[in-house]
Amino acid sequence: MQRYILVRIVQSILALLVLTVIVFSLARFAGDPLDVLLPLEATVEDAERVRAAWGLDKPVYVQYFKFLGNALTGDFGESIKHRDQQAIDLVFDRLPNTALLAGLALVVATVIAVPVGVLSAVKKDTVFDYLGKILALTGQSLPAFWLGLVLMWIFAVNLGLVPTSGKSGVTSYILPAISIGWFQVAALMRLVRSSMLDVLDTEYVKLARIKGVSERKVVWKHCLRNAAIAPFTYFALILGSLMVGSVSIEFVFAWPGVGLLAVDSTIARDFPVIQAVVIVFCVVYITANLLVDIAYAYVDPRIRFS
Amino acid sequence: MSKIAVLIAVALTAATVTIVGCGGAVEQPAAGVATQPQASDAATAAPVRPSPLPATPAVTIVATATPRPTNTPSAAQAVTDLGGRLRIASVPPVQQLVGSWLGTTTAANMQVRPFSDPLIHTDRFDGSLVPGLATSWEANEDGTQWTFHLRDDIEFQHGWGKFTAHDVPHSTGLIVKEDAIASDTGIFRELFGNTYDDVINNVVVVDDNTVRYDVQVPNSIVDFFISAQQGNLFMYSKAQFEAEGLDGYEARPAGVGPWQFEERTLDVNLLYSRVPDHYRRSPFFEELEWVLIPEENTRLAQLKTGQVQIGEISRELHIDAVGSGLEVVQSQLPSLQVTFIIGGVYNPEAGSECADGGERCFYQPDEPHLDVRVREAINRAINRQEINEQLFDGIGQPHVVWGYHPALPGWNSRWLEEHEEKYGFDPERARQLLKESGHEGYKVKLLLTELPGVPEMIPMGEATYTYLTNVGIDVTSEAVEWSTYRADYYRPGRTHGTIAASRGTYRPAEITVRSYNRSGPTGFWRTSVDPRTDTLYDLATRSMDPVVKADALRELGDLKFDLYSEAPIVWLPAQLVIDPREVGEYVWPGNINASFTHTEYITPAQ
Amino acid sequence: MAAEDRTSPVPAAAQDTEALQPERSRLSLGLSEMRRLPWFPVVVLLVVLVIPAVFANQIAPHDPTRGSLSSRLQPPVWQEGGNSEHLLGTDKVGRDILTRIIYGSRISVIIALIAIVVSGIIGTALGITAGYWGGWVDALIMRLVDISLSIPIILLGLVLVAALGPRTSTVIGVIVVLLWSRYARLARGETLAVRVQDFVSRAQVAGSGHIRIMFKHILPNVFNSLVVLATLQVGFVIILESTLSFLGAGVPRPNPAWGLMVADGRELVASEKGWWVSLLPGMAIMLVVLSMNLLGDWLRDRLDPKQRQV
Repeated sequence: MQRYILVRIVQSILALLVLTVIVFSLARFAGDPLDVLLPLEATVEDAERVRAAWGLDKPVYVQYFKFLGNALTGDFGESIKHRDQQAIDLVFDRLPNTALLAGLALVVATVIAVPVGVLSAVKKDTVFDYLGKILALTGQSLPAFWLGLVLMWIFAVNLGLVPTSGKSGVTSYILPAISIGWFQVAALMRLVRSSMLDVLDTEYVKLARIKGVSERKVVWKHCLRNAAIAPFTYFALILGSLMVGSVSIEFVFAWPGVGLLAVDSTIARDFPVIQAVVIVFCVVYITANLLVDIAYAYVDPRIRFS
Repeated sequence: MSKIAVLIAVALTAATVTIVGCGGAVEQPAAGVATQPQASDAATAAPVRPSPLPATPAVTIVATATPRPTNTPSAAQAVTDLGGRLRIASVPPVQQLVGSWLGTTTAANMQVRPFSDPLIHTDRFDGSLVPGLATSWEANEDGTQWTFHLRDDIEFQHGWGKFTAHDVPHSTGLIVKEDAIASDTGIFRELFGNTYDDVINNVVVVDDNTVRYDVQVPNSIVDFFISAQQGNLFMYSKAQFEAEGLDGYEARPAGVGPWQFEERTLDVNLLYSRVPDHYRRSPFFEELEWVLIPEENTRLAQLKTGQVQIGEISRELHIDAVGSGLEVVQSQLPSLQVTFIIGGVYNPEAGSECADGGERCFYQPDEPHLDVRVREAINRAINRQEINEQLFDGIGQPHVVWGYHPALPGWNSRWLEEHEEKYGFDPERARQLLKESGHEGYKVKLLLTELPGVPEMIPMGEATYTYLTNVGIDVTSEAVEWSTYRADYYRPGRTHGTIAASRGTYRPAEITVRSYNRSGPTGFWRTSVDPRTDTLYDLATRSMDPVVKADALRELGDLKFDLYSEAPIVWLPAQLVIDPREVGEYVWPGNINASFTHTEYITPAQ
Repeated sequence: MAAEDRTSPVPAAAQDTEALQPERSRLSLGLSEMRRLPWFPVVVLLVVLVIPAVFANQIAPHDPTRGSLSSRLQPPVWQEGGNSEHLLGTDKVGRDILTRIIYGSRISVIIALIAIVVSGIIGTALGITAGYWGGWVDALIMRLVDISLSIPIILLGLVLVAALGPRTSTVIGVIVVLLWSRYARLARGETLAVRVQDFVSRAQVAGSGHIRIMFKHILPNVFNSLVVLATLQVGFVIILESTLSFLGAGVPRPNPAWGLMVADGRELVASEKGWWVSLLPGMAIMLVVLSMNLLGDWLRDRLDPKQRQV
């Protein structure tokens, strides 16, 4: 068991190392930040002067090892776009905003997906099943940014129920959370539905039924509790896609999160920030995945030997 | 299952259409005529500077520019109660900064100008240079020494003491710092010295209230470069720098502006508070907040729900804004010029960098754009009137020569008279010209770029795609960012076979020529239809004689006009949407890099 | 979106053991089941996606990339001011929206098809290899999957577009980078279940080569799940394309990609003057994605053994 965990941890660290190379090259591949930030009239000499002043004139491999060495200590360097700001600080300043939004979106998704998934498993091919499916699928059928805009016009502008954008009070979370969360409903619903179908079919449920336990109790207590394990496997995947989904929504709602930062820094070719954002995303994702795998290894011993 | 699915899907989609499609009826706003600014009668000590002439009247649908009141400031006298926080929804600037040397003039005008002042200010009605921190200024005969006389009653904010001549070389030096990327860094280094220390030497403190710029290369518009109209040089406190360094500026910059800097959250907002008893104008609002919102719709939504009082909204949505009780206001002067740049028009006599095996190879003899008939054909193919009416609501003024405006030195009235004859929409003639030139159906890449201030750039580009295809040119279009353009086309000298949409601001013509037509290293495009370009440019920049200068510029303009060096489209004013329930009057010139300046004069609704 | 595949990487393996029989393999829908094909999604897909994509040149009334500014922002025919020249109205540049939607279906089909087939092949090959070989091969491939899943895809899109300019091939490439790992995960999970079965052992005993076993015995058994996943992903690809377009990293102009149309018209989404510019292509996206998902769910009901048993 310990050996399995150790191996998985080492693998994850190696994966992260590979990622640093990918991210580093990708960020450089995007182009030269000076092309974005220098004024139109800047001459080649201007560019060279600034390049030297900003330490961008060193060979790429030197930059990489410097980046890697510093990154290990959590230092991703200063932002190019926002001079004098540490890239990692920029990311950590916003990470809570994105995480909170993603968390709420997950709640929204769960609140819709679980009942719908259960109903469509139990009451297969009935009106509930269809209605639920349509509700779930609609969210997946629209680009999130577009859904966000339409929701904003209806609920913030025409009805005036919530603020249009920005992060202010509790109500400002509602629209972005729904816009991101609704998209996840369909996937989550499918998971709940199929694992419910699995569980409904087990001996143990059959036994409960034979013993005369009420159908409602069978479904909502015995089955759901067991069916909830499968979606857990997908926690990391869903987390990842929530983070990604937040990019366009943060843009629409002017939400000061990591997604918006990511778009901005990419447009500005702000390497240090791009690297910090992506690495933080990746660490979050890979760690989540690792934890899920380890948890599973505890639950299901077969894994360790397969 | 399917039947129900259909019903629901239809119902859902129908509901969406209904909700979104059937908003309240929008009233067609009444047409009005924009009032042209009147010539300034304010006498300044500056060398002769022609004031803007009335240009062709612009008929507008929704916007009005405020006429100049007889007693400035008009609204100011009427204001009895201060407004609370003035919130302005804005597109996030490229650089978020408190140091003006760290970004473009556009970024500095937005973020630095509220809390600090330049030496020379601009009039909010006619955009002319007027005394600010400098009460008067003069230049010697050859334009190498510029002396400024400063006010002696100005205090820096946050208790950093008196503003004196010593702060001027310091603030100027910051612009040329080795890591500076201000729009003016290049020209400042050329004019005032290459390093901070050089500048300290060349900007001489005569006494506490007098400072003299010893200019390296004679230049006739030094006052323009250090003025508010260019907008990079703002006054920073030397005392604060000596005590706290640049970190102090970063945390709490002290300026001498009408607002003082309070705080900012990156990508979210910038907050300033009112400075009482400011020497020019204390604001009519307690606080000023820039609210940074990237998405167009979201800015409009914020305006409609009263979360902001002023917003940058694209013209397409003006009708909707007006329909819901908002108002459109526009700048006093034209603020942006829009054009298509015809790539690959390099002059072999200006020196080909190909010869020394350099990376860049500007002159390529087989470039179709070198043929004046092809350039005329491009100009003839584009229907400027249609673009102005359909995309710009007809608010645009005719644009005849890239960089030139009737109110700026160097204008030639002949151009406007001959415009229809030489540039009028005539696809037949365009086809004919292409045929004659032997470049019928030649391949061209149309580069579309989104640029701040002109959201119509993309539709304009797509319409031009159609115009050019209609005369038989083989067009492919590509959306590129400016930076990509710079990296992929300009830097390697590959503008051949491209046509790119571009925009410029309202500024002396020689600055546009410097960036676009000159063959030297600052020439961004190096579009040079005639070998005389560089000589005329040098004459125009250096001559202190306004007549010689204007003549040189005019001759340069003649060349550009007669030889179709670009395909200019339209001059546009800057526009903003305001909430009339909260905001009374906002008058700003618009000629300051298209920026929204003079916020201290905005009055609350009475 | 991330979790269309029902089969979890490993734990499901054991559960599936009994369910998967070699005989059930291949895409075998009986005639009676074909009759129960849900007609709504199929009709929608034919009308909105397939027919327009194939016959765009014949049925489209106008040129998809050219328009006249003088006829810009004309409303659809049923609205006041609309005319039958432009049934669904025109966009900001005066191009016919119906025409653009018709041609746009072609772009959607091409992108979805290429992206899904390519990522399907790569993902399945790697997934089956990982599941079949196990050990370090498995570990290596699964960590690759981790890496691919952890790269924020939208960022990758932005970076690539910044570097290469907006191109359809870039969009496809970005989508492939994201999607292959889904197939790999699914194929691996299913392979783990199939590998331990008798017919695989028998083949091994009989001396079949590994490649042959993977191709002949394992692939047919995991194929159904892959088809279901692919169907469900068509919609996702279309949505992804539009999100990339929204952020300026999608299909280049003036191509009439649906996502680009929605993104371009978005500021008019609530405007009396031009709601149709973004809403109508948005409806096309919604109808297609909804139908594709309904069809996918239907397919999975038929092809997935677990559902059958209930």
